[in-house]
Amino acid sequence: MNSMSLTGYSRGKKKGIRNHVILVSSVGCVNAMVEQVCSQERDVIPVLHPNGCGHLHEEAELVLKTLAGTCNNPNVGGVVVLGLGCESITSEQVAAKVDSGPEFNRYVEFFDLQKIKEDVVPFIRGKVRAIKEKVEKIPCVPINWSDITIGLECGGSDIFSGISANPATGLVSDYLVSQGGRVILSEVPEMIGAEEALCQRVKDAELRKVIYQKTQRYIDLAKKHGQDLIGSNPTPGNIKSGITTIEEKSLGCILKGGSSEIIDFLDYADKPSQTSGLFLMDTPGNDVESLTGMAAGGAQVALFTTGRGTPAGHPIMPVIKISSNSRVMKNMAWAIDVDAGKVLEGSSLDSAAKDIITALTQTCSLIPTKAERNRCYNFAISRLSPLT
Amino acid sequence: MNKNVSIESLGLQISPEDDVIVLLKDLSPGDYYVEQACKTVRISETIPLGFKVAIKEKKIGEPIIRYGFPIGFATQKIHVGQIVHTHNLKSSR
Repeated sequence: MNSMSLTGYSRGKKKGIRNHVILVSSVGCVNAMVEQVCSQERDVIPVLHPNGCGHLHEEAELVLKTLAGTCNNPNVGGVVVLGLGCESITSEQVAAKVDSGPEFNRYVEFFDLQKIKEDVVPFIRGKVRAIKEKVEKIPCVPINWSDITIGLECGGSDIFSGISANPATGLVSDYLVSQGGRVILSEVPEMIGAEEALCQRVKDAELRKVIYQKTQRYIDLAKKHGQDLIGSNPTPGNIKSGITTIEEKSLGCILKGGSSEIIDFLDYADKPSQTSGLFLMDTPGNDVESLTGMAAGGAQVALFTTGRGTPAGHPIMPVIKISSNSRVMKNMAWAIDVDAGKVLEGSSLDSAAKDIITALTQTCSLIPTKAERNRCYNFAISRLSPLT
Repeated sequence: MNKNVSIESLGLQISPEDDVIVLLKDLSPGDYYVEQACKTVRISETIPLGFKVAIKEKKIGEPIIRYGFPIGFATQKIHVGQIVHTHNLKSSR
């Protein structure tokens, strides 16, 4: 697949594959007003969360970083931040961190409910429409694979995930890196047991130590709360299906990252450098928190493998769902984009990888994924990362 | 009899160093050729899809390789054609 057909939008030095206008809560208290405006302006996307106030200091920093990172994702062309007026993370603080203006092809405004003297919903709707008018004028430009950062995710995995969808996705990760792009592998609990396999692709000795430190941190955090992460994995369901050890489970998960050299271990919502390669990101195993972290780090698109099926998406990062087996594709065709289950019937991993690249090419040519069509705007900021 | 059918053709092996094949279909009882071991083995019970079948002999304490990496170690001697699971494979963590 050449990159001639890829289309996107220029945002300063970066390129996005969407031109979204988003209405972002700076604090959970205003969520209902955001929902009401977005239910009337259907092409404006709500970014909702319960955070923004009452945080410990480190948590507040992470919430602000994640909100700002989401607004700065190259898929975003217009931002209206709605706050309350008395919260810790103000709308003004979020807006101040957003790169805006004609050179970025991005426009931002912020408002606080407590300061709005007129009818709130029509007022915000007016402001959102004014931003939309500017954003609609932003032209499409051709883009390349080297402009793209992919976030990887697995959720609702089954025994086939490590046989079909994950290895096929790994081939796609390798392809993207060979074309100059970047890939982010996250979900640290799913790296426990696979550290040695990851370390073999790391040149820097310090980074190898970091990989073990990151997994150990989760093991210790769970132990502090009376939970044995290693002893409880694989789960009884996994064991009944044939997965025997935590090493086997995690090695199956990390397959989706492919075989490229690992460049860095990013903190939650951090941006990878522009070097092409595979990056790890410190996120929990929770799908939505993981997607949120990678999108805030600038990933323009996600590849999400699933065995049982899930509709989860993200407000501004298109999520491509890849099923590990054909039964879930049949039962949840409304949620799944690509079926890698053909591998179980004898097709090659290369053939499944080509199907994924086709879906990726379409998504990067303005065609919406099922999660986008279903308006699945899942958004959740990790609260674990800064607390240990 | 399935003497002409190799176990490897019924499963998936991610890496050439792997000690096990993961079955893509239930394996019915019968005789199967194991390419890796150059021998025919008799399977006496149905092995469900998704389970691992040994394609190499392993001694007690030896690491079991899948995906090109150790997934634990053998707690019993493992013969070619045997299921590899919790009764004979333990995590190293």
